[in-house]
Amino acid sequence: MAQKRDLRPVLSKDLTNAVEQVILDAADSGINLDDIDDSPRIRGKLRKDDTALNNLVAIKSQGGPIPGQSLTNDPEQPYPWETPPEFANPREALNDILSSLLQPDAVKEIINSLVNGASVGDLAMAIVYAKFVEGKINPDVMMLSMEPVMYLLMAIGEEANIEYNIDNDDIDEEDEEEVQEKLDEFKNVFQELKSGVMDKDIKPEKIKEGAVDKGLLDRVKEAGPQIRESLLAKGEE
Amino acid sequence: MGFLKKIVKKVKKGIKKIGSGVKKVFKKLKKSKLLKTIAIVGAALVTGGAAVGAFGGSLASSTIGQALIASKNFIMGIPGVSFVAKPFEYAGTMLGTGAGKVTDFLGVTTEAGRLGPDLATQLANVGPTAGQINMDAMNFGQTAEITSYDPLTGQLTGGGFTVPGSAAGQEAMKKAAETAITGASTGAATSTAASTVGSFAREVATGVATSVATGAAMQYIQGEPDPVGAVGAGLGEERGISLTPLEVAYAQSGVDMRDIYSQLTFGTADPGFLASRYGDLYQQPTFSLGG
Repeated sequence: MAQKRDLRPVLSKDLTNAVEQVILDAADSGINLDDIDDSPRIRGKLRKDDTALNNLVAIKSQGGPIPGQSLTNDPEQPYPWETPPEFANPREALNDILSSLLQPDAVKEIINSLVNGASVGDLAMAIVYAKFVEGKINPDVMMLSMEPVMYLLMAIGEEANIEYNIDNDDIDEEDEEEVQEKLDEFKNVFQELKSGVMDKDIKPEKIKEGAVDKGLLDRVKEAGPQIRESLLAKGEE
Repeated sequence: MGFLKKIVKKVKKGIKKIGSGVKKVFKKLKKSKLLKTIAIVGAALVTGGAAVGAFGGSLASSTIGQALIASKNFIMGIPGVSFVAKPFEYAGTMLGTGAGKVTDFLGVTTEAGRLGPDLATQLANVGPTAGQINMDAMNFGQTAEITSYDPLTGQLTGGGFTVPGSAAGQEAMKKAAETAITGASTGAATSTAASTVGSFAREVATGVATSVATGAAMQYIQGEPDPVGAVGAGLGEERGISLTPLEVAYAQSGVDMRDIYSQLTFGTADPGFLASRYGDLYQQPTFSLGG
């Protein structure tokens, strides 16, 4: 019977840090991540939609509350977020949020949003803010819940094989490190090429037969020094 | 909402940091595989494996798996969405091939658990040599009733307690019992078989055999006892405090053990994660103290 692997105890207040430690622990144990499924994915590209933009403009044009308006509300009938929150303990709050997200209907809507280009960050913000407005959590717990909710949304996106945005429209965003790596690689190749060309004494006679078209090679041999002279070479005065 | 946006940016930066850190270890790992690993490990740590449970060992048959597949028609109807492959068909087997690998190293799942028991492999684990027993082979999910083994007749008598096992498991257990009592029973049985003493000895031998087999089975079922820390002795010597690995983890994170429920922490030492990994942790029978 396959036994569960003994794990190194990892504990952190920062989820990202805990994830890093767990993955590195797995690496130390010799686990190979190359077996992970990597089938083609659906691109969750943000699509420009005029209707949605018009709706947003219509909502915005209705105007917001007048400064101080909240102070005129009846104190006997407070808004839900003005009352003590249902969950003061972040663990209990997170349990409630995550269990509501892991419902089939909610998962379906999340997938549809991700496919339509909504970012994980925006969705997470909407979810935790809605919980605050409902009076379920206080602002502190709302902030603490952001990171775990983002990770859960990402996992749902991964399970559905969606290439999703994390923040805004960053699906095509180049990773700075990757760009730097490619630049360095290019520079190296260029240097090698440059030094190689300079070192070798390339003459038409040394070119292997078949490497260049014979007609072209004959023309080069005929032209000889004219071609070998650089265009930038100092001409005879 | 700017303060929430800051958290989003922090998480994104953190993911990139993990990526560059992990890339140093897994040199040729593709970016998409890396992101998948990070996302699933994160979700498993957050939910204590509940997310994986919700998706199901065989995703296609779970409720959320059904929801994923049901979304397919809607998504295919969106203009501009082109399918290079069949993403949701893959979803059904994902935990068995890709994400399952991630949850395996987290200890949330095991490969055997995800893919189902392979009986043929397990049967092959039964020790081929007489007198050897591989306790792994007993865990077939079937039941076999064994009360005692009579070494003189070589028969197993039924009734009594039930242990997980099968015919092969019983056979292995029988051989183990034979080995355990070879010295005691053979001599006693041949010389005094007709006498009362002989009968008594046979019962003792049978009892020993049963105890050995039962003890081995029960140890396998119950596992090893919890380790108990030792405190250094000596006059005037300051007592050392034996910390469990869990206490060490909390001490390093600066969290008081008495306050862990109200602190939001993440990781493999987090009580939420441990509760799901060791499901029986919070379901242990309690004993009332006599008073």
